[in-house]
Amino acid sequence: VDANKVQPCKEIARKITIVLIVIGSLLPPLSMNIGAYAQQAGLSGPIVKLNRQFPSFYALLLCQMWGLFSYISPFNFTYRFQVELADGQLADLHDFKKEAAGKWESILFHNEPKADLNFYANPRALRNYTEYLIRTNGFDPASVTRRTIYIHYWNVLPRDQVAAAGTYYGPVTDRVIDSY
Amino acid sequence: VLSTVIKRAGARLDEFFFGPDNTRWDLVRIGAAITVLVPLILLGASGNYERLYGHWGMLPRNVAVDTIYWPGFLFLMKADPNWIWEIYWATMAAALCLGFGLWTRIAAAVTFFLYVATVQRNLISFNGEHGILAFVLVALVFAPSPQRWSVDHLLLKKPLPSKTERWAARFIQFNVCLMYFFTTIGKLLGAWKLGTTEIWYQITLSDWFRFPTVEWFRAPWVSWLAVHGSLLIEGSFAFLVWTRLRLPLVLAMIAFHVIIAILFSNGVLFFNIAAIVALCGFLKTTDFGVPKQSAPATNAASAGKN
Repeated sequence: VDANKVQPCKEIARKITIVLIVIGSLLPPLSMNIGAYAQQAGLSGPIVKLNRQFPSFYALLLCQMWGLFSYISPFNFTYRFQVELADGQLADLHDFKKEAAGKWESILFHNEPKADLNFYANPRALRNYTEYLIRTNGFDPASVTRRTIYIHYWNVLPRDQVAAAGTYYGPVTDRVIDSY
Repeated sequence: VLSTVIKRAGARLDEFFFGPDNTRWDLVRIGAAITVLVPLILLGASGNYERLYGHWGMLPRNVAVDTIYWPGFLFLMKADPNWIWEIYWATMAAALCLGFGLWTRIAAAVTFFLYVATVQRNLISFNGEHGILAFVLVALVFAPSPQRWSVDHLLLKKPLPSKTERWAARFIQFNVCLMYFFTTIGKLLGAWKLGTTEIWYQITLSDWFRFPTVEWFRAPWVSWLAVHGSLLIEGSFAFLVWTRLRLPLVLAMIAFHVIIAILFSNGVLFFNIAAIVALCGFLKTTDFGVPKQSAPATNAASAGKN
């Protein structure tokens, strides 16, 4: 066998493999984004089916839905957590680690605004967080008869209402988003 | 004629993926390491690491077993609560090695896995920078190594690679293009309508914006520029970056992220830094008029010419 011919063949095979892997690794995010946005655009048919799970890529964070600041919630919000104990007493829950950060909270807990958004989209995680607060606030979970999660929010008023209201923001309001 | 066209296309494709690589990998590597390290230090110093990823944190170990993706299982392997701190220090060590360029490829692979494992341990902690750093770290595993500004080269005296290929840089570049392209699609399908500025008005009054009391940020011309400027620069990036406009466009995009980092809250600071790090994957050692040779072979050739 001519060594000079074998080498280029091996080299070509190596290069084709690399190109296929590089392109192939882009297909899951490409497919998911096309499918998801096609769905959002109201399209139907096979293109929508491209929006499917790619667990092996997702597990490695290599299949992301890209849409930075595509939306912004028209209200600012924080959460408030309250428990009712077996004796009827109501108690607010505190996140002592965050509160201990004081004026450094926006630096030490820089990721919290995004975590709050993630909580908003994931009620189960919000319940897990409530249980965490119950434990760290020193309550026995068995003694808690009701857990209530409030969203404490204030709307951003549309431009045409600002002059009449004399402010950019609506009144501060509490709304129960989960109670169990 | 057809065979000539195919041969030419093949040659261009070969050059595109396997031509000599002069990407500024040092910048990408050091930037990626910093973007892993600084948030990790903040997580450790604040107690947030234990709050997010601890056995008794907001996603307890017994609950996490049924809900998380496999890389996160690293955190669940041992019942000892101190186990997460061993992972913490291992991640710090790996990211430090990556930053200094010590055993670069292994450090990149270990950092990638530990970083992904950490985020997957509790996806509530997921933020945009995690998605960017994941593909950047993967690319660093395969990038030419050792790099010029690395312990591997400067102290351990490992020679610079005599032959480099561009495909690892292409991986970053394609991912960045996908990111901006789909972001633009998402914005146009979402709240960013051409000709309107309502979305910018809302952004300037949101908790994400640092200066909600500064009125001129909501002036009509500023709003119009913010909405249409960002749509234009992000929407065109994926196409124009392959032309001669590459360098000014990449620099404009870096400036764009610096402005966002200044205007917006700390919640998006590391996302912007990660985006800038990924954009460095488009910069070449020959940019800014200071050509740098990447290999001894090239050095010898240059010396011969001189």
